[in-house]
Amino acid sequence: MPRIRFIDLRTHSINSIGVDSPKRLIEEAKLLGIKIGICDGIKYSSVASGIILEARNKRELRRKVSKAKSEYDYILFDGGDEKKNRLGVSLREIDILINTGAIDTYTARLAAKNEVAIEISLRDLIHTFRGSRVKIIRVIDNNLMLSRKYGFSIIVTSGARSRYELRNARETFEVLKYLGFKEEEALSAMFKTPESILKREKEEVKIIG
Amino acid sequence: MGKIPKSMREKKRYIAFKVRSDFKIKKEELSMAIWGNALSMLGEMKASKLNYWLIEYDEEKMLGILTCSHRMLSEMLACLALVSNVNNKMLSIVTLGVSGTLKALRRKFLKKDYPIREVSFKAKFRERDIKVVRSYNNFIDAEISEQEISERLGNMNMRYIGLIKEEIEDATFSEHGI
Repeated sequence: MPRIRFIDLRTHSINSIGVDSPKRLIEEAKLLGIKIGICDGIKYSSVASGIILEARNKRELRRKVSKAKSEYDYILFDGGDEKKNRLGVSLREIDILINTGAIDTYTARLAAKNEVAIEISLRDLIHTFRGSRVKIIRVIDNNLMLSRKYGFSIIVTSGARSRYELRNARETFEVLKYLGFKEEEALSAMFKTPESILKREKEEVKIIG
Repeated sequence: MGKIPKSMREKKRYIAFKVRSDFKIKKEELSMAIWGNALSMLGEMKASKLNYWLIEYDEEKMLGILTCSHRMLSEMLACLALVSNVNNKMLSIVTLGVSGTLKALRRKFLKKDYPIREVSFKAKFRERDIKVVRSYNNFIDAEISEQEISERLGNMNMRYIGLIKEEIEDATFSEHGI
């Protein structure tokens, strides 16, 4: 069994849409043996802090990114449909594209080129059953297949809004394995990708696509 | 029909776990949540190979032991990770450890006590009125009167916000036996 580590870069505290204080989330994560980042759009000194951006066009996104990149440790973009997903992977400064649904090949290519990681959220799996869970697993299958072909990174997050939605490393690893991830892919999605995002030194804004 | 010889019997793995929830979770509810999730996730064929059994569960400490086939350990852990709700009560199951024997499991993982103290006193959290209801380790669970956050809790099938002791204002913990 390899050493399993987990950095969960998408959690929310009571300061945004969650129900626990940031300090409580950090302490709970310590007990579970994981590290977390909090995406409240607030800069915390004691923990990695991220911001979720939304934008209608590239101009707006560039403006928001240039403001956010000096302040936050990492930047997430809220995707959803084809247009939003493509916009989200068009800037190298975006670290993670979230709520993507099934991405297309164009988005996959651009994500690989601009090193934007595509998110898989455990929260989606945890709170769905039968039909809706099947749909989410199909989306994950699609994104995993494209990741293998085009080489973009996948990142797994808990998407936790409460202490009860955090998961430890072993449990997350087993869920990913069950979803069809190979061991190295799971370890990369849980630790290598988030670690490289936190270490990444950003280049200047560069629009591609 | 005679018993299956020991060498041919299926090997088991014992899993120690802790249930975390704002509600008291009964043994039947927990068993139903785990089995329902396993059946839905694995399907009848694989669930039949799981050989799952909830051996014991302490409703006060919210600690328990379950067993499964050693071949299906990965699937069992994945199932436990995805349990989130029973009877509109949010819960999560944290795996404390896995062992091949009950004796080793109890020695390694269940010796620690995780006491949850039920208390009741009013305090302030960032100028909001709260009522502290539970305390364990350095953690505080509290009811909050602010409507937006109460609604958020309700939507998530929860009751309490989670804080740590140092964040509470206007409270001397020793007065309340914490």
